[in-house]
Amino acid sequence: MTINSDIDKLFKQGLADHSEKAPDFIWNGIEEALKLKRQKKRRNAMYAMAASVALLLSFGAGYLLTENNTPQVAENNAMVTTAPENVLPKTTNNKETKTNSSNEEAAVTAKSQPEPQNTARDTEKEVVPVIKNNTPTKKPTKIQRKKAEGTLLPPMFAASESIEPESTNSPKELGDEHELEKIDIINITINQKTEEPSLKYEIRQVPVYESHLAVNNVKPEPSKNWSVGLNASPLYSYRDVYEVPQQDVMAAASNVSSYELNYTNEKPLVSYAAGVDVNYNINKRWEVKSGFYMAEIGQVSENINLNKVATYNDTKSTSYSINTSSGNMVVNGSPNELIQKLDPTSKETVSYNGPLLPGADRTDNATSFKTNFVQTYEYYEVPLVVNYKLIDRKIGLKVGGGVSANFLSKNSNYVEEEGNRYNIDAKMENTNNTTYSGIFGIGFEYPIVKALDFNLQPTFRYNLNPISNAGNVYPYSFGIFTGLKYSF
Amino acid sequence: MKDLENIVKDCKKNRPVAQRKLYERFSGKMFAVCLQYAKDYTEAEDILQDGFIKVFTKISQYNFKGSFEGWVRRIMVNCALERYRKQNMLYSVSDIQDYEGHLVYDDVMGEISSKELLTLIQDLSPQYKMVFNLYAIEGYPHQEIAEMLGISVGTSKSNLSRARVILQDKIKSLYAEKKKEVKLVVK
Repeated sequence: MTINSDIDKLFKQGLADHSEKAPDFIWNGIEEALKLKRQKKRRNAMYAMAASVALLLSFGAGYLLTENNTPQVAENNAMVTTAPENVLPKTTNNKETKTNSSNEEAAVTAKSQPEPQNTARDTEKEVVPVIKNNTPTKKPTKIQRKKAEGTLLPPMFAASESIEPESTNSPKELGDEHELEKIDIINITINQKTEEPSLKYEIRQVPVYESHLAVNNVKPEPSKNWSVGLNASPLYSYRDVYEVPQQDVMAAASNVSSYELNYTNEKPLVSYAAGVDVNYNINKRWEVKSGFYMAEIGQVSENINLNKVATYNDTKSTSYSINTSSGNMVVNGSPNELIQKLDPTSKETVSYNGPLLPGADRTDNATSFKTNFVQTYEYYEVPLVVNYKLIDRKIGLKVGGGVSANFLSKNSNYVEEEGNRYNIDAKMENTNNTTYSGIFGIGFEYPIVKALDFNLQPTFRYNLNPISNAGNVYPYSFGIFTGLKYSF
Repeated sequence: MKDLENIVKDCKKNRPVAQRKLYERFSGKMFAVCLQYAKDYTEAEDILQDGFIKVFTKISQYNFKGSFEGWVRRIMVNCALERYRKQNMLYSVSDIQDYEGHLVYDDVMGEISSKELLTLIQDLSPQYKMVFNLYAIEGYPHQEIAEMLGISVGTSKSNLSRARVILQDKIKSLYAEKKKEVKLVVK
């Protein structure tokens, strides 16, 4: 028999049935870790579901709304205020979506006329995001480091990460150990087997893992992958006008805008956009964002000549058209009513060369009036954007781009004269119910409190398809979105 | 063992009660395994905790083929191996030449408890301990050990020889007063 197999056998047999009771706290650690994993799984599943439901509903609602968008403006108003309630996810267990819907409600009701059903809903929900209490009880120390990222695009691109490294008492998670640095440790053991206890020294280089540290210079763990944001911005909106192909002009002469006119009278419009977004961090640098926005774009057509029309006692002109680069604005009623409103001194009737009717006056002060017509288009937008984090410090910076599907919810037009606004019953012809725009922007983020960041995102959007079937008009807009973002 | 099978099935469904039962059943033995691989109790506790978390999260991969205890033990050994790799990358004890030492056959009579055997192993330097454990106790061949530890087969063999010699010397010195021919007896 060789010593080799003897020694091997000795140890193998000697240790085969050896067992030793493990200390109780080990089970507690295991339990905590398993609990955390269960919660994480459940949470992720819920958010994925909520996000997909939100997207589905918004697309569905957008489709439904634009289907109904052809009748009068008055109906559109009603749909705008009630639609958001149907669009938002209905999951009641999810605090985050509740927050989304309440924020969305706030955005909608702030903008539109308050309606009874809206205000009732508002009182039920809370407006402030509720911070989820999902941290295990066994985490006495929490170190937070915000990764700020800039976003270019509207609110959906805002991003911030809240990082919570584990403390020494936290339950261990698999695969979480990353070596941070190597330190020298001195192991001193007392050998009590000898007659006189002796000390044994051993110096070793040992790597330090993040789970061992409880100080501030710990590397962040990307444990917060999701975030929800709320943003708003004033928008500067305008458009590019391109030449309409000749055959289109010939084919629908009455519908198509007179492209040969240089629409120098059209000016940009200052409007607004607001919405919520959901953000997911794919890894340290990349993130994907989607959300739901309401934005208004448009333009101002200045110095439009309104001419009074001759009226007879029992005839009324049903409508008249204003030509703009995006097509014709069809206004119900007669210009006379509008001119009367704008210039009360003008007489109601207009002179004409034919025989005078009893009571008619041959001369009149105002037969024409120059005024400004404002066209506004309100869209529900669902963006999809990818961001890249350039700077990952306290103030973060990121760039990104993407596309957005925009569903027309309302087209309202009015007259603006000397700072006064006059609503008119008018509609732009042939407006596309669905448009798509490309998005590009940069974003800045700054942490405020735990898991809550402030973000600032200059964003530029350009339509990928024309706004209407008449003419070749591509709206674009620029905004600086400001808002808050909550990470979890 | 129908009883064990049911517990494992419940653990696959993530049932906390079953998980507790499984832990209580195997933690004693597995802690002994961890002590074998660790340098001290603290490290053994860490390996045990990591090991069981892995057991519960990867239990879906166990298909009731082969012994469950063996499967759990392999996970413990793997945890110890992972830890070893992280800690000992700079701790090179490689020796490419085969150790051609003369091993003296000595019969030493004495009673050695499992606890003492454990201590002897624990006192070995990390690489020797790892190689000895994997070869003599787990039964892995040198080729596999070399792959696991990122060393050459020759290094594995020479480490094993050295470990054996060291262990033998330690056993001898523990019972040096017995000059007579004695046999090694396992308690």
